[in-house]
Amino acid sequence: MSGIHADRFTVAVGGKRLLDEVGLDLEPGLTHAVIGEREAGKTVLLRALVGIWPAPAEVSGRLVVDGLEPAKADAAGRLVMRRRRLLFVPASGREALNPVIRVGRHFEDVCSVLEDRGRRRSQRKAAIRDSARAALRDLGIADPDRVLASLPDELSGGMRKRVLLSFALLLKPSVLTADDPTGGLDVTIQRQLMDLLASLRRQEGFTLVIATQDLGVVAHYSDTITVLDRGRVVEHTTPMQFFSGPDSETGAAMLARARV
Amino acid sequence: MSRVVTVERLRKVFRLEGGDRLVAVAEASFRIDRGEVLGLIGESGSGKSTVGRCLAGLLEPDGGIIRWEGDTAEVGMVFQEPRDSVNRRFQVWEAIADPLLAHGMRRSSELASKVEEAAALVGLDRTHLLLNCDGLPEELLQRASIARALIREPDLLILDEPTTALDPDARAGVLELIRELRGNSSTAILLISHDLLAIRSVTERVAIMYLGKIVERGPTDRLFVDPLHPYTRALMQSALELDPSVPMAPVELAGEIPSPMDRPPGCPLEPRCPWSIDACSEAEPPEEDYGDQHSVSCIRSGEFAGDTRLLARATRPGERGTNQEQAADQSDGEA
Repeated sequence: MSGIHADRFTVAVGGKRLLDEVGLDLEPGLTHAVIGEREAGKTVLLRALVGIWPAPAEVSGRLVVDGLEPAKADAAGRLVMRRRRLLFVPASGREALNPVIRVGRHFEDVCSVLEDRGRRRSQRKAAIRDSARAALRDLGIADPDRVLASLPDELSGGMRKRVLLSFALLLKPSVLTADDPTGGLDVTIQRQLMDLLASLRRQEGFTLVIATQDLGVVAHYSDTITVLDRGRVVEHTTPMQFFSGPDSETGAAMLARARV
Repeated sequence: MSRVVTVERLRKVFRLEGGDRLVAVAEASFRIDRGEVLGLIGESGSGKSTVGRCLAGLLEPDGGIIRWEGDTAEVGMVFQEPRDSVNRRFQVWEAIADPLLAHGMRRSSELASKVEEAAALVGLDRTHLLLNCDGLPEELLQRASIARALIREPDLLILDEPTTALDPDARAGVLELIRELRGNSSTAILLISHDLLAIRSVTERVAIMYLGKIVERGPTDRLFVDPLHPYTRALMQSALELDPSVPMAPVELAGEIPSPMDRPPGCPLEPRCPWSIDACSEAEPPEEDYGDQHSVSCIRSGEFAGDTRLLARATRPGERGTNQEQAADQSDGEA
């Protein structure tokens, strides 16, 4: 069963419900936007879709992502999920990248989940470098070798973001969840990046779920919109319907603020 | 309105290990008056932050003139990440008072009243002052760092990407604050940002920077509606309408911004520009004056101004005529 299905899916920490009986039915191969105010549970949902949640969380309900049930996976199951490539791209490169490890080495670590036995380590390393260079160029980085040789903190925020997205593109995901993919990027790069994600999604056929506060991106790049409010789904709709008048108060408030 | 600073042909080159030269600012000329907000728009690597840092005295320019009106100039600066510019172990009042303490002012009732005054300017009250910076919501922290930059009553307040790291609510709050500060006639504000909507909503004039060069500058309304430089136009086109039925304008610029270590000869946009001709790569284009302090560094801008269909196909026809008439009326503007 491909696509994403959730039924009364709940993630709670210390009695507080970060996701509260979420029901979702997201078709495979499309771009789905999750919107909501701060702390609405967007990031929690995106992470849950790939099987990551806070350690002491109580998880209940049902969640099926690309035929897998992240809530029921043990360590071996999680490796299957990584290999099946359910991927989460965090919003901030600063938190996701180890500040004392050069970017090139991060690429090697990321690619270590790929199964490519039968190649010598040096060959594998060179191949990873080549694909890393290509991926970085795709994301508008003119000088990939400089980036690969840099420490994360030597790069700008936008540059770090592109590094994270290029990891994801290298791994050829079946489901890619991206938290605020355009945040902190230059406007022309935002367009390039969303165009690139959209064309990759069409080409590779993966399901793309983005959490964003940028309603311009939502309007033009998403097929469905899910509005979250304090962990609950308050609206699930299409861009055409949403932008002609949201059903939920949360959606209406967000749209009003963006139009100021 | 009185002038605060005039910048002429500012240039800043970084010399890197191995002898490479990185031209961060090739040529930047502009001026800022008291009580106004000048927006400086540019993408990463355009040199906009370097311009700000030269003005703040954090960097020594390699060429050009920065002329302050008055004998000494006080500059306050606010950076993108409030968490990076404020000592997190401070309480809010200490963070705001820090520049005065650093200049030798004693802890006194005078200091306290100055801190309260600066805090009030940014909408912080006494209860906020005793909070710890660590764990403070980002909007309050950004307000505190703006208060910190204002406390020495600067002639120029430089805000370098002040909303980029903030969520939409905090961003709206900080923009509202900039609008309020604009009314405060003693300070001029340089707002450095790539947030086009933010710049449009709070500035009177803008300068557009690309690869170390200011390619177009002028009144905000005019540049947003009727840009004459192909790069400005590309920027404006990348803003997305909040309506899925309005088709997105195609991205017209090919490729990406070149490395500032390897600036193309002639016009910096030439390798990416769909309107480039042979002459574009021969020499840096001079600034053409279009009146009302609107100037454009593009040798084809005259053609675009004469026949806006060439450049501005996507602009609504109703707005076109009025702008052309204005351009014709304003031929005696200052550069």
